[in-house]
This record gives sequence, C-alpha cells and structure tokens, in this order.
Amino acid sequence: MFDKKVVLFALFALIVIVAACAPAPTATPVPTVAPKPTEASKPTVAPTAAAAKPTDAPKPTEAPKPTTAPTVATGLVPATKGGYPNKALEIVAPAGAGGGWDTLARTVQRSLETEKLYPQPTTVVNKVGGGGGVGLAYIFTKKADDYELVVYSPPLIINTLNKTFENDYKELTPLAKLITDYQVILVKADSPYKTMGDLMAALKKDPGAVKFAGASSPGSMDHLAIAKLAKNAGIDPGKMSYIAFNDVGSGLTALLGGNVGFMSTGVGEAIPQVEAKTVRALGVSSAERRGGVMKDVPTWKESGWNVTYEVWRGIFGAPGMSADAKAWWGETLKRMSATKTWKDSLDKLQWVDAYADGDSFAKFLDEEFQSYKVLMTDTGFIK
Amino acid sequence: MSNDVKENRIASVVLLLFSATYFAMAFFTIGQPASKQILGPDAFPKAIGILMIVLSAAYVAQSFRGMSKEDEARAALIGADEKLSSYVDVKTVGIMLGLMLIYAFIFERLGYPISTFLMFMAGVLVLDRRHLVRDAIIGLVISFGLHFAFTFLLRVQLPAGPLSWFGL
Amino acid sequence: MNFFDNLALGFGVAVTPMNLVLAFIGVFLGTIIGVLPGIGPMTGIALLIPITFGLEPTSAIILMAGIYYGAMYGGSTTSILVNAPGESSSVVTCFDGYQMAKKGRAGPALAAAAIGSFIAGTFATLVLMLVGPAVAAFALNFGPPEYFSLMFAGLTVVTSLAGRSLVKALLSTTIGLAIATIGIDLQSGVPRYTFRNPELLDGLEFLVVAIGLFALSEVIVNLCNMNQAVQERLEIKGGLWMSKEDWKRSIPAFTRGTLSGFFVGGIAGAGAAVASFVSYGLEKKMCKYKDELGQGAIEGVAAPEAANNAAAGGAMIHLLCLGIPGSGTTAIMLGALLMIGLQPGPLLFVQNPQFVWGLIASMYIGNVMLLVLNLPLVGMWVKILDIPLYLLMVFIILFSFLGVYTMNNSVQDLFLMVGFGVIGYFLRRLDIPAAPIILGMVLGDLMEQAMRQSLMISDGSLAIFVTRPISLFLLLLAVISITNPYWKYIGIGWRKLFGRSAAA
Repeated sequence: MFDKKVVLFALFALIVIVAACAPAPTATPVPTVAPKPTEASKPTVAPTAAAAKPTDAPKPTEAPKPTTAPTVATGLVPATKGGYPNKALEIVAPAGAGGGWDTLARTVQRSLETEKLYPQPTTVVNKVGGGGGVGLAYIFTKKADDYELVVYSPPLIINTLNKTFENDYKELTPLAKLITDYQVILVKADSPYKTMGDLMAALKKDPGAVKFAGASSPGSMDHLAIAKLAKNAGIDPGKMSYIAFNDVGSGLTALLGGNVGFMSTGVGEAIPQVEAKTVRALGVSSAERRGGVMKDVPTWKESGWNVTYEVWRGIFGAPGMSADAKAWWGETLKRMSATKTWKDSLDKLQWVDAYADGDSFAKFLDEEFQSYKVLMTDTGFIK
Repeated sequence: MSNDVKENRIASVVLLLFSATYFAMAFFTIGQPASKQILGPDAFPKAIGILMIVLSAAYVAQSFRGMSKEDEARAALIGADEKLSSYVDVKTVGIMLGLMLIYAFIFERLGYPISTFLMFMAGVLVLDRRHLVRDAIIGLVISFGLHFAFTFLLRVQLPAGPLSWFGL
Repeated sequence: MNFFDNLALGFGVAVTPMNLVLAFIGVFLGTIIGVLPGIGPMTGIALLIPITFGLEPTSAIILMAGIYYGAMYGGSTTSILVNAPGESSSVVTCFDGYQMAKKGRAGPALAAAAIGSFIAGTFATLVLMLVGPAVAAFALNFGPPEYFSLMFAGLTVVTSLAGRSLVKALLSTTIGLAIATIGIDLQSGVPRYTFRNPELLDGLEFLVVAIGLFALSEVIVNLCNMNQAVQERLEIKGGLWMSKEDWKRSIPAFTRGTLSGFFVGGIAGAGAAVASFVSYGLEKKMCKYKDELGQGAIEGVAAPEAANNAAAGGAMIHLLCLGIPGSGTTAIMLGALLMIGLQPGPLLFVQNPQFVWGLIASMYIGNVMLLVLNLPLVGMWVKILDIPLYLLMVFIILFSFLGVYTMNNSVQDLFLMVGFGVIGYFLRRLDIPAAPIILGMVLGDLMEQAMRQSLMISDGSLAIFVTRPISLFLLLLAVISITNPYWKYIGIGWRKLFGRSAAA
C-alpha cells in the first residue's frame, strides 16, 4: 500500500517539476494514471530552465516569444510597432477590488476595450498588500515584459522614501499621467471655524488643540498634505494631532459625530457630503478653484498659504519595457484620454483629467520625489 | 502517563516560549513612530504579550498539575468536546499535506486548471483509486470548468499558466 | 402622511418586469458568489459594476442590493456543509452549522439560515423605510470611544466559545489578538511583526486563518481516519425541512439575532462579522438550550445568520441616509452610485424619491426571492454530502485553495492557509478551541485602533470611556456579562456572612 503511494507521489512530483521547468507550453499533461512517467513530459526537462529568471523560479509564462503572427491592426487600433501588440495585456492594480487604483485600472481597461484600442484581450489583476509594495514586487518579476502595466499614485514615491518598498520605482517605465485629485479640508457644518483663516489661527495658537482625521496612516497623503500646509504657515506639524481611520467612511463618521475638529480627504470623496451641506469645505489644495459643488470653496493659495497638493494617478510599464512598446503606449494612451468612454468615466467618478505624456510624467515624478523628500525629512518621516 | 497529558504538556511549554518570543519582539522589532502618539505602536503588543505569558503559564500549570476542581465542574456542566481519536494515519496525512504544499507551489507556475487537475488526481490516487475513469472526468470538468467560469463569467483572473499561450 | 403613496410609488418602480428580473439575477448571482469561497459580496459587486453601466440607476442598485443580500446568505452554505466559511461573516455559522450537518441535519440548518436571513433582511428594510434617517443620525453617536467599549463587550463573548477549559479559550483569544497586530499599525504607520515581508504589511487575511483552522483541519481529521472508516458518508437523518421543534427554538433566536445584529452591525457600524459573534455570545447567555450550543444547536445557526443580514441591512441605511458607507461592500456601492450620477446622503430621499422607494420595494422583493430561490436549493446542497468522503475531502482542499487565492492573488496565503490547517489540527487534538482565535482577530485590530483614536481625542485621559453615556453603558454591559456567572457566589457569601439577617 505504502510503496505504491510513494511511487505515485514521486510521479506527481516529477510531473510537477518537469512541467514547471518546461520553457514552452508542454500541453496538458496527459491524464494517464499509469505509474510511469508520461512520454510527453519527460524529454522536456530543458536545460534552459533555470536561466530564464534569476530572481524567481522560472515561470513558463514569462519569456515572451514573438513567434506568433501579429494580429492585423484595423480601424481605430493604433498601428503596430515592431509587431507590438500581439498578446493579451495585464494591468496590475496594486490594491484590492474597489479602491482608487483598482478603479483606475478597470476604467483604463474598459476604455481600451470599448474604444477598441487594444486588439487583444485585456485583464486586470489585483496584487494586494504592503501599500502597493506587493504589486511593485510583482511587476519587478516581469522585467522587460511589454504586456504588463501598473497604475500608481503618490504612495509610490512616499513608500519608496520611507523604505516600505523594496524595489526602486524609478526602474518602472512611466507611460502617462492620467488624472488628478486634490485634498480638501472639511469641518462639520456647525463648526466654529468658518474659514481657513479661523482654523489656521487656532492651530497656530495650539497645534494640538484641533484634532484632525484622515483615512490612512500618519505619513501618508491625508496627513502629509496638511503637514505641508502647516509648515508653510509656520506651525510645527509634529505637534499636531492626526488621527488615522481605516477608511474615509469612518473618518467622516468621526467628523460628523464631533469627535474630530477637521478632516483631510480627497475632493472626490468629499463631494456628496459637501453637497448635502452636512460638512463645510474650507479650502482645496489645487492651484485654481474647482467647479461644480466646489466652486465656492477657496483654494489654500487664495486664503493666503502658498501651498498646492496634488494627488496624481498615472500608468507605468514594467521595468525595461521595449522602446517599441513604449512608443505604442504613448500614442494609444493619448488617444484613449480623448475618447468618449474615458471622458464619461472621469465625469462620473469626478476625476480631473490631467493627461501628460511619458516624458513629462517622468520629469514630473522627479520633481515630486524631491518635494516629498524635503517634506518628509522636515516632518521626521525620513531620518 | 497518557498520551493526552504528554501532548498538553509539550504544547503548553511551546506556547509559553512562543508568548515570550512575541513579548520580547515587541521591544526589539517595533520601530519608533515619527508622528505624535499617546499610545505607541508597541503598547498593545506588550500588553498582549504579558497576557499571553500569564495565560500560557496557567496552561503549563494546568497541564502539569491537572485541571482545577472549578474547571472540572465546568467541563462536566458543558460536556466534553468531541474527542479526536488519537489514531493518526501519518502516511496519508503526510502525503496529502505534501501534495497541498506542492499544489500551492505550482498554483501560479502551472496555472490554475493544470495544477488543480494534478492535485485532484493525486488526491484521488492517494485516497481511493477504484473509480479512476469517473474521477478523471470529474477532475477535468472541475478544474477547467472553474477556470473558465471565473475568467469569462466572473472576470476574476486566475493564473492560466502555459495555457495563456493558447489565449485562454 | 404620504407614506403609503411612497410605498406605492416604490412598488410601481420595482415591479416592472425588467426590475423583477434584475432582482432575481442579483440574488441568484449573489448566492453563487457567496457560495464560492473568497469572492465575497465586496469583490462580487466591484467586479460586476461594469455590467450596471448600461442600466437605469434604480435597476442598477436593485441588481447590486440583490447581490449583496444573496452573497450574505450564500456564505453560510459552505460553512454548514463543509466547515469552510465563504465570507468572514459566516465564520460563526460554522460552529453549530457544521455540527448539525455532521449529525445529518444539514437540511434544517440551511433552512434556518435562509429564513433567518429573510427575517433579518425584511426587518432592516422596514426600519430603513420607517425611521431610516433617525437611525442614521443616532449612528453618528458612535465615535471611537463607543467603538472601543463595544469591542470590549464583544470580547466577553469568548466565555461562550470556551470548551472545557477557560484558560485555553483565553489563551486562544490572545493568540488571535497577537495575530491581529501583524502588519502596518494604522495609528503610527510603523510595521509590526512583518519580518520585512511585503505581503505581511497588510496583516494576515482573516479568511486565510479561518479556512485553515476550520476547513483544512477538518480535512486532516478525516484523513487520519480514512483507512479505518473508508467510504463513510455523512448521512442525512430526519427531514430536510425544519421540524416543529426547530421552529419553536429558532424563532426566539431569529428575533435576538436580528435585533443584536442590527444594533451592533447596523447602528454601531461594527460590521457583520462582529455582529455574528455578538449574537452567538448572546445565544450562549440567553437561549434555553445553551448547553447544546457548539454541538449542533439550531440557535447557533439561526441567530448569527439573522445577525449578519441585519447588519448588512443596517449598512444600507448608513449608505442611503448618510451617504457614508458602513462596510466595505457599501463603500463600493457608493462608488457605483456616484458613477451612475446619484449622490447618496440626506438629500437622496428628497431629490430621488422614486429611486429610494423603488430600492426599498425591491429589497422586500429581493428578500422574498432569496427565500424562494434558496429553500428548494436546500435539497440540492444537501446532496453534496452524498459525495464519497474521499472525493469530498479533495473538493474541500481545491475549494479552499481557490477561495484563498482569489482573495489577494497571493501564493503566500496558500502556504499560510496550509500552515493554519496543521495548527488547527493540533489545537483540536489539544482541546484548545480555535474560534476564539478568530474572535481575537476580528476584534483585536478594531479595538486597538479605537482605543488609541479615543486617547488622541481625549489627549490621553481614560475618562473618555466612562464619561460618554453610550460608552459607559456598553462597558457596564461587559462587566455584567463577565461577572454574571459569579453573582450566585456573592449571594452565597452574603448569606454565609450575614446568614441570620438574610434569613430573617
């Protein structure tokens, strides 16, 4: 009894190893149950196995093989460049379903599909964890794979600076900055602080007196935006009382329940409450006033503090993306950002179009990096 | 001394060591926060660590000295939990656990349908191989059926593995 | 009062053929999503949002609400049949549900879950309709201090999860609390016990631990006896349907589960998982057959299932009346509503009455459909237990892997799950209850965050927990619940000391 099981076990292990190392699709291992290795899989113990990927065990899906014939580009599809694209596309959302990154990834996917901009199937895969670090580590196992995209926003830089990330984001291939959002300061409708001036004066008198809420840990966007503002106003951000909540909802509950003095959050998340007049928006971090419900809300600049804070979101290719693919995406994303599907989605999600091409995005990222470095050093989040 | 008592003694000591490690790590591995805090990030782990040490010490005492009268009374009242037979088919369990680990290992490398089919067949071979043809068909239907249902109906991405070459 | 006008308006919207079909599709898809492990209501709705784009706003929300309810219900099916919780809120259903299945009473257990869900769902809809805005306004009284006290009171549930030894149960709870400290600390941003592993930064996924501890350890237990009892099947004994006795015992449990679930999960916004735990603890204190709980008492299924659905309904009240999502799932629905062009919140009732009342009407219809759909399915689900044991074991393994993987697309989670399966097996050998670990994990993080948020608010003064009435009330409840078993000793001691005066 036992010896047979051992044989079977060994056989199973063998099939597994053989198949895992095989560089090409070894087809479905034939479901024979005979206790001897199947011929189909045996000779494929290829010597190339370990060479493919030094970082990780080899995955058969990786090594891209440009052997298949490129599909004919028709209609709206941008012209292929050097046979690109001829494979299914994977967009990585470095967080769970329903979050900002995931929504962006899926909106991009939908726009590409509906507008027939990408001739092959597209999928979104969620790589959850580590503030985006898991997704980053994942895309770093896909070096030089032209069919892997990933979306990110400022935490990409913040988490690099505070050393949460193990990989250097600068190796990614910036393809385009797509949208942007801004931070807004909210107080309860019956709060004694009527203007930014009132609030800042109170904070100046005693930085710890007015507690403020955000939906992420200290040292992330909700907190840093206010820290940036406070520094400009000559208030020590280290003395302010920031209370972190799990999500925007519980932060808002705490604000409406009078447990915190004000809240820092994205304009998109604030709009429903501002419209219902349960909260008052004191100031927004954009350079110019926003429209719609927010049209009466002054900017921080207008109120006398020369600070802006931008929550950008952009899309990247895997590290070492080929020049052909990069050029193809530069053109395609530009086209996509002008389509009706894309514009409609932005409208509905209350996102602000901030398209910028790969090169200017790269430059913008460098500036952001420097500015965050200064801000986070000053506030003690980098030592 | 019965097996049961021995197992409990070993477990209680292991848990005590675990608790002590957890408690010690609260001092050495948790960094300092950069922002203003009333209770630092290490306060709760330390408190939990102390609780855990106290409780596992009580467990050690209990397992070496036997249950207190109060607990016996409680046990009589509640009724003992269902007792596991101490018999362990080490071979079967060991092989199946090994298979599970291999399954986890090949899950992404071989893709969902293939690895699942292999796991299914291996499991069937180990446990009962009297209906192999029937089971092989079931295995094929389940592994590939689930894969397609998830990918195309629910649009949840499962790793396709080598199958991605066929555009699946 | 134009209440009936409103309701008529609502039914007028909901009873169009299109919307009826959508409500049915919603609960049907939701049930499937709930049964599939890993894909919870949250992921399910997030993934299906694109489908709703082409629909009218009312139709879209009808579809989503159906999925939400369906998934809340469907999660209990696998808990009962194979001890593998489909959602975090159905972990509690495992305790007695699976024991009932083992005793051949899977049918009544599934039926009780379906009826409990129906009653609770209908109750929550009624409340939403009658006093939704008032409930929502009251919910704002729950700030961090109230939250902390609620979680603290929730911890006292552990005594009802204890087996023979209280020490072991408490130890098990602290292990759960310890597991909950893994990951980035929200209040400070400092990583704890992560061993520089990026996947641990978000902490351990609750279902990874639960499926390992419950489903996989059950597989291991069965494997141990495989050779001794080959081909044994879980036999169905008695009727498929609930007996008179079952009804008699379930109805009070439904009531208690619905009310406690609505309070804890709906009003206080503590989530469906916490709500189900609290309702289980309440059963252990209040139900007549409390000694049977844990060994397959129908109350142990009826109450938590009612509670988690009442909590889900309560979360809808938060969403619609406040525009503040009370759970992860409603947060995604909020996003979807915004995309449709609707702003949930206090103004919704005024600006879009046909939407709100249409939704309310369809929630009734959805609940009825859920019942109609699922009661006949009970017979089908029970057939699963007819599968030969060895195949069932393999299926549970495949099922657990699929569920855990789809949550985060993480292979590491798979290894962790197997690890927890082995740990779960040893815990059972040692008679250490595994349920308190889950309790500790559910409450630990929330409790710690709430406490530290409160102390930031009060600048370090502990008085904040006792000067706020709701918080004080909850703390007193906790104290009563802990000390309750010992009151009789006080009485005895009193009589011993002052025997004469007491007798006189």
